[in-house]
Amino acid sequence: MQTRQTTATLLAVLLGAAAAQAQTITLPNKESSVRFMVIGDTGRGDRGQDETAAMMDKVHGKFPFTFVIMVGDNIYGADTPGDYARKFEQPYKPLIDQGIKFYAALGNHDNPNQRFYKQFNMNGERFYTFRGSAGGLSKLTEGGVRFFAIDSNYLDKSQLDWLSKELAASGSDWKIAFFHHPLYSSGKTHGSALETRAVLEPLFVKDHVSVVFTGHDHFYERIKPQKGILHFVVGAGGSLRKGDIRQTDMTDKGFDTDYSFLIAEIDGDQMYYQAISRTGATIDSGVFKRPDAGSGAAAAGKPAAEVPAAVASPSVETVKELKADVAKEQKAEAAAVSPAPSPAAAPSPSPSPSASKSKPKARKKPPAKKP
Amino acid sequence: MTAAWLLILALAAPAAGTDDDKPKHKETDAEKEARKRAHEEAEEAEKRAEETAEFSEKLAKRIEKGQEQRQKDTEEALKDFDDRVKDYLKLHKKAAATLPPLTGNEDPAAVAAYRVSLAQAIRARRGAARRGDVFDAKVVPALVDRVRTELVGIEAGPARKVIKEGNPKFDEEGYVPVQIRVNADYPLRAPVSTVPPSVLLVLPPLPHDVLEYRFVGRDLILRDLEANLIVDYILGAAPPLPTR
Repeated sequence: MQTRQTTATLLAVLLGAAAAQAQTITLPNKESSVRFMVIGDTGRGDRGQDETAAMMDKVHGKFPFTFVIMVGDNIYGADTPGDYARKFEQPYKPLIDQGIKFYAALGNHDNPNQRFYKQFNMNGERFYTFRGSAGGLSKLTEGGVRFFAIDSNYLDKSQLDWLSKELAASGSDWKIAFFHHPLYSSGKTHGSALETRAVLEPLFVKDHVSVVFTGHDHFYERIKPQKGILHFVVGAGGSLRKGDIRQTDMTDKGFDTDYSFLIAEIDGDQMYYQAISRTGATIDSGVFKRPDAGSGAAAAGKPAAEVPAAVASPSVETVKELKADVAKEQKAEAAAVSPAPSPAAAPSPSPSPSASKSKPKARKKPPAKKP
Repeated sequence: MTAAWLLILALAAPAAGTDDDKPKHKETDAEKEARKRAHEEAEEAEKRAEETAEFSEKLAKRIEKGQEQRQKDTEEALKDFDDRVKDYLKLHKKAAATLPPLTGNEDPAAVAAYRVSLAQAIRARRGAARRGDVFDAKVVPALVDRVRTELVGIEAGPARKVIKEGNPKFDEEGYVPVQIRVNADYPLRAPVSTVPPSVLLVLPPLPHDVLEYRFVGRDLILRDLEANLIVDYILGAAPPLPTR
């Protein structure tokens, strides 16, 4: 009995300490900046989602983000009105009631008709774009932040043409893409979506996308910047696959032991980010400087040197060439990956917030710095 | 003098043991027969070679003509397919016109009601639809060929992985049975497969946001995404996919 009490006390202390961490927001929290939250793979309607949603609300009390982006798998299973209520409206009611806007991308568990649901702000489109920064007169004086929601389940020609056109036409300083399938991920279950990478990455590089948010793998991972783009996997907002991160040299930070979400703030040429667990623990934080900052390349629409001209409009041939390149890359990557340690050799193979730094190998050091 | 004659005679005399000393070989009848047969066989072989060359030439022409015909047939089949898709689109629009349109600002109940009503209206207009009405027998080989080209081989590994993502028969969230029938609802609980971009780029384009290709196991379905209806399907379009 006494042991139970001690355990309960210890647990309460630990939870209390973790919750106290939630009070610590590492972001600048400036009123003039663009503040938002990223959640993924949320729509379960279970305790894990509810508790994580409750923490999101607590965080919002300290860091008043103005909108949320959802990287897919918004409503698992059936999507009857009851499902929308249980898997979205109830968990996020406190945020919805405060007027926080949610912008959704579709995951492989989402019915495409979610695009008509008003709370997802998709305006009936599977893929769309919106301005994250203030509109009005400020649009004339600053580049701002533009988000591109992509349906990575169905990248047909019409969508790729649309994306190519929209990215090229955008004069925003920050171009941020969000969708479901991660271009880079160390997930054992899914991992990097190579086909998706083959068609999207060249467009992103060409038109200076700076940050990519995805989900699908049910954990949090920040990937070392790839071709100048910072990639996040934020797929544990309501789903969790414990111990699913394998050791790769792509990971800058990984967390797969609890539910999580991300808050971010864009202030000028810098994006601050903080990943938070269900219990309120800060599992990752840092700042990313926009690679084109100061060069004016994004605004001028200058193509990056290494991008083949052919990718401007993806064709079958382009995709084939890119696929072959990606397959080669994948083989090299697989060869470079060290085998997963055996339980005896490494008691905790899944990267914890403190132990997730992977071997540096021969890759370039990421430009992301601790604030 | 005698010695000189002897020298002349010695030089003129043929060397001992030359061929001329041997008795001349006389060809036997059997040998004559064999030689004759060999000659005839050589002639026959030459004739056969000529015939083969002539046949090969004709065959090559026939193959070429066949290929041209098949290409023409494929083009015609794809054009016909495109026409049938357009016909379906007209039918879909007519059915949708009977309902208040969705604006993207609806609540879930309104979206669900719209989906059910649209499906009913479409079924009413194509109640007699059968398998092969859109994916007809002529276009199926062309489409299957295109799908398989993208899904076979080492380089197609990532694409094969992709079509298992969200595919009801392979999805990690558990098997949700999908009854593949024309005009049947696609189950609301079932996820929808991701379709590799490489496959989408070789298949004939479909009207944006009305029809889409999806996989259920290895079967390719044509799905009306607004009405959540299975419009038509091709069984076993994808090559065998290893289970997890």
